[in-house]
Amino acid sequence: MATEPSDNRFITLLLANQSSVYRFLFTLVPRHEDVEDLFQQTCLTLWQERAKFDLEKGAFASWACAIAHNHVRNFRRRESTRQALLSEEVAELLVTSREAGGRFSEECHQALQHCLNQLPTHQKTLVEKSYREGPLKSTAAAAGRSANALYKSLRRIRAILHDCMLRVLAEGSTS
Amino acid sequence: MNADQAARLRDWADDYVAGALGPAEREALERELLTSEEARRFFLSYLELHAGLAWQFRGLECELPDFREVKPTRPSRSRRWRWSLPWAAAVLAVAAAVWVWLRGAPREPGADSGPVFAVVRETLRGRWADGREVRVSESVGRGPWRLQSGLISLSGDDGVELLVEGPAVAQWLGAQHVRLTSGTVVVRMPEGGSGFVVETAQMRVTDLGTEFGVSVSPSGDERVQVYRGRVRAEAAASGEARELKAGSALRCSAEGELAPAAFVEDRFIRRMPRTTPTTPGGPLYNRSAVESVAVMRATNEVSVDGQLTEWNRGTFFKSACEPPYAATYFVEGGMMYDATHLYVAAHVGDPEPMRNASRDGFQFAGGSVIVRLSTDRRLGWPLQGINPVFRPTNPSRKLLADSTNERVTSLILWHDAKSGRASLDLQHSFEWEPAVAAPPGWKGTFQKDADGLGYTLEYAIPWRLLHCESDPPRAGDVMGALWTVHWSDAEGRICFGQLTDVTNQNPPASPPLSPAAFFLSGPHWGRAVFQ
Repeated sequence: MATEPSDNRFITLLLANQSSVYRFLFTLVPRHEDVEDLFQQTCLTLWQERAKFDLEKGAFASWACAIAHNHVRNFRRRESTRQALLSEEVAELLVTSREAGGRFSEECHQALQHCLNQLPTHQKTLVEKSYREGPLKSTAAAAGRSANALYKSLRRIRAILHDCMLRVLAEGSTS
Repeated sequence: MNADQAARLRDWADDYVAGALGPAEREALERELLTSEEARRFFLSYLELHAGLAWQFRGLECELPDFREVKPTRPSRSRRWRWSLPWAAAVLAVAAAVWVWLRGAPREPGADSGPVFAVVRETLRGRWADGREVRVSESVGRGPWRLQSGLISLSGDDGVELLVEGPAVAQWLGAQHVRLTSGTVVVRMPEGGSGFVVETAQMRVTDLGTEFGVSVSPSGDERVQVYRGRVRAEAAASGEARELKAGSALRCSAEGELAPAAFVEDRFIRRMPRTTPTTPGGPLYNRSAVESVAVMRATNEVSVDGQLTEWNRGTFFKSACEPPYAATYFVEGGMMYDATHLYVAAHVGDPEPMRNASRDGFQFAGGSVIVRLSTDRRLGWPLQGINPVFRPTNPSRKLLADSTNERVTSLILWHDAKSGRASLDLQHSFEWEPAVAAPPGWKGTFQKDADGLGYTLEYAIPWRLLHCESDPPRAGDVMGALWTVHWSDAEGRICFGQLTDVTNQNPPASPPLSPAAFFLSGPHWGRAVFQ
């Protein structure tokens, strides 16, 4: 399957913005597996609809997140009985707040990178393992700890990272 | 928002992302989110944290996809990520197959199609291990890949740019995470970005907002050098961590010990050269058809003057790169010996002759001829010795002895453009200790062709340097041998291509290697037949 030059440009844009789309989905759907599925569906739609995107006009991230949002709405309709989801009203408010925040998401992302670099190695390793290797049970077993103990550690480290992020955001600098 | 409210919100957020939020808590959380913009921002910032971590450490969890079998309209319920997108197929059609580094054989179509972590932005005679030219807009996904030669620029997630110099073996482990097995890479983060990780066998180098280079030499010597900003380098074995500032460098030994190193500005190539080669470009590689080289007995004293008057050039083997470069990039090589010396002569077609800028640790890349030779007749032919990478977990005593035999030597012959002199570096055995400059006693010279499109080299190397002065090779001996030629850019810095010849024409099925990696495997070497 050959690609047109414009397709290559589209792929480059998608590559550069896939992190934003993925993180956007996480603000609306908490479950990792659901986010992965929605991300997959979103990328598929983006590719199918690529002709509708104006490469000259830009604003790829907004366009991509709007498509991701539609997928989340469909997901909510299918999964209306799922207790894990917040109400649609709250979800829409969160999206509005996120959009109103301008570069809020990107600033959070940059702040997180800064804060991750401040973490001691053992804490960073635990976070990495927990997110990379999935269920805490397997990570805990490998570390010789109970899943509960590991979960508590992970919560504590996330709290440290969150405090750091908020501090960096308040200072408006990651230097 | 007071501390109690913040703590409560964070607890709820934690339970929410863990799927453990009870009905009463969810109701309370929704009440707060509906009524307070501050609470929404706080909650969102926590979700951004969770999302950022999930993205950052995504990658290794991905299972191999098969986009051909996917019915994209049906949402999957798989826990694992399946990269089953037509766009990925399109990308990968452009990329074709990035060959497995050690195999030199293409992967099954689609079998390597994973998340796309980077695309090729620029290439300067970049060539993959299979000889395929690197093309702009090719995508690079998860899985190991090998750049045989040239220089390529990769653009990754969040604007990170990597400049990879061949030969290099690397692997993307995640959007912000690369494993470098060998070669050099320069990482440049966009303004405000940080967190990119380059992992090597011995180190983990984390960018703290910067531009830095990491190199892993064939011998396992690892270095990190910081051009801008800061990085943190951690030794994998000990956990020892050091923070490096711009203008500093660090070395990690094969034993995993960190030590300061000299900052050498030009150790890494930081920018894609803007000069356009005036000579024919494109992929430079050959298809080996030569299995043996005759090593003739020297009947007269050999004068190392580059004139080759004592040589019978009819005994030279000739090998050339694939058309249309055969007339420009070639080698004619010969070998002689007597009781005290090995003699090597070669005429190399090279439009940028004798330009080697002698970059520390990468001298071969600036243009070189490497002659590898066994001088221990007990090893026979084909050689069995092999690099540790390919050895079984419990190698036989003989395999271990063959692999560590110090009478297997690589002679790296190159012209140092800075000093204007011939150079000789040596490596012994298949263990790949760092190459070292040969001790005194050898002679070598280079002569540029009159038309400036090649050079002739001539060396006399005492058997002593090949650890066999008491029992040098003699007529009738058949020894393992391998020849490699490297060509560079006009600055003598970037390897543009290579030729490998004098190889076993019936190589073993295992390990399945590309010719560029034959030097690691004795069974792939050809023969030096002493006359």
